[in-house]
Amino acid sequence: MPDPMNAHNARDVTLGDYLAARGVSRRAFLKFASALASLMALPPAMGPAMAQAMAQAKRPSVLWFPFQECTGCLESITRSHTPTIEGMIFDMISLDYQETLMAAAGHQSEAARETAMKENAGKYLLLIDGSVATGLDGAYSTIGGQTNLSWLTEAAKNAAAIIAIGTCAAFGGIPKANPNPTGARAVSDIIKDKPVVNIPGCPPIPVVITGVLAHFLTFGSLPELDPLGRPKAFYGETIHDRCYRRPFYDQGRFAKTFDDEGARNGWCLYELGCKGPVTYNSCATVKWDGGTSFPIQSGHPCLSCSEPDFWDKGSFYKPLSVGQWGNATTLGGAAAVGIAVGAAAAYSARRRQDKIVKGE
Amino acid sequence: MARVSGLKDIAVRVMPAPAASGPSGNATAILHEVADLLRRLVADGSQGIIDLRAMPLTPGDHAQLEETLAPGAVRVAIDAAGPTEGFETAYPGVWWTRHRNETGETVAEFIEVTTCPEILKSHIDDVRDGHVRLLRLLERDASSASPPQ
Repeated sequence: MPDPMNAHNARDVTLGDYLAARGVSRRAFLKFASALASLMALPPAMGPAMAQAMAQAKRPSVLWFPFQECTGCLESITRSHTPTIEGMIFDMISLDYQETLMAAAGHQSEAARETAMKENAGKYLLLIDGSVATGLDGAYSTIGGQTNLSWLTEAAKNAAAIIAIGTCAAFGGIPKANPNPTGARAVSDIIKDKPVVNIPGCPPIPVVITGVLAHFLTFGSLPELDPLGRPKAFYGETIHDRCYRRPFYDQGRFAKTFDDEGARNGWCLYELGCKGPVTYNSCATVKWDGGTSFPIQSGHPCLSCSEPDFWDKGSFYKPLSVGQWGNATTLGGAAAVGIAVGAAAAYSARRRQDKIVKGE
Repeated sequence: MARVSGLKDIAVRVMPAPAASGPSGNATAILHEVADLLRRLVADGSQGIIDLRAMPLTPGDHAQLEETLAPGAVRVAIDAAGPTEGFETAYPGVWWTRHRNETGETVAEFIEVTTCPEILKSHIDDVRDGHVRLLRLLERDASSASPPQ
């Protein structure tokens, strides 16, 4: 039996043995799995079954490539308070390449990447953050003299699955914003023959990454995805659907400036440009900074950072009705789920904002 | 227009905290579900769990649940990847467990209808590991306490 304390063969031992060798009891692991099942909206009774399945799983080899990115996605997961649920990601996987985190550099790091790809061909998970520069054959972004584009296409060939972390990898993000000088594209625009899971957000919520990996370990498959390739467990509902300020939207109570009575009373931020009604993400339930808050709770409208092309859709501070956000269908859908007064209030808000824009 | 030269010149208006939201009716629905899960536990031993974090509960709902499902005879404290506290409520077979991480953040909160929550039971792998550690300790003690020749 391989020695679970030996880092070199740590991939060959089960996750349960690996954690036990590091003093993590099965009871602690059950707690971790139960919390994760809760966050993934799985039936609560799944906790023990998940713990059992994950304990028997082998730690998958993971290669994490940073392309046109700001390192915010990596900061998101590594700067979270540890040890936390999301922090356990580093125990669940064998992170064989991540140039920002790894001690090796230069030729050593490239050798580590090539070795991991060779030894785990067909089994490794490929994580990408950042968009892929395609202009000038990818020359706008290179590592070690090779383009991100060539790295992606080469590594994707033998990957079991690809996880695009952050809005840049998932949808092109800010590098793709008009006029997109580097020809930035999303991973899924380039790789068509492998499953690609999109975990958008600027940055994404760390536990979503952990949840996708836990699902892969537990069920041996990727979680159910929406039409944009996002895991439904975390992107199945809009921010608006789960927002604690939603009752104020339904009652027609809106903040009209950032310092008025409505803002002080914590009313709905729709008129200040909140994109919650058309943004699918878990910020309102999972929250940020160890569950402390999320933008709307802090008094700022949702920017919709987890939706495609959020940067190019007009002002963050104009309501949905006057920007390029949504359309009659999405707005109508948002209003329809509210009660009648909510719909009337939305209409009223739209008219009021129209006047603001026209300077009336 | 008055000139602002420092923070002290900015008028701050202290607003009272909004009143806590009252019950929405969700707590009553949960209590009915608990009653049904108890019926099943008695009938065939099947267990059930309600994930409180998955429910949109107002502070009033939470207060109603805490008042109705008040602690009973058993309280437990577990230290595993952060503290977990729990208790059997005044209704035997209905347990309330709250899992926290090591920074104190609540990561999961359940109402479990069972004779004993799974987290309290010793996992056989942990038992096996403990057995090995105890044997090693006894062997070491025995060797260090061997009688002089």
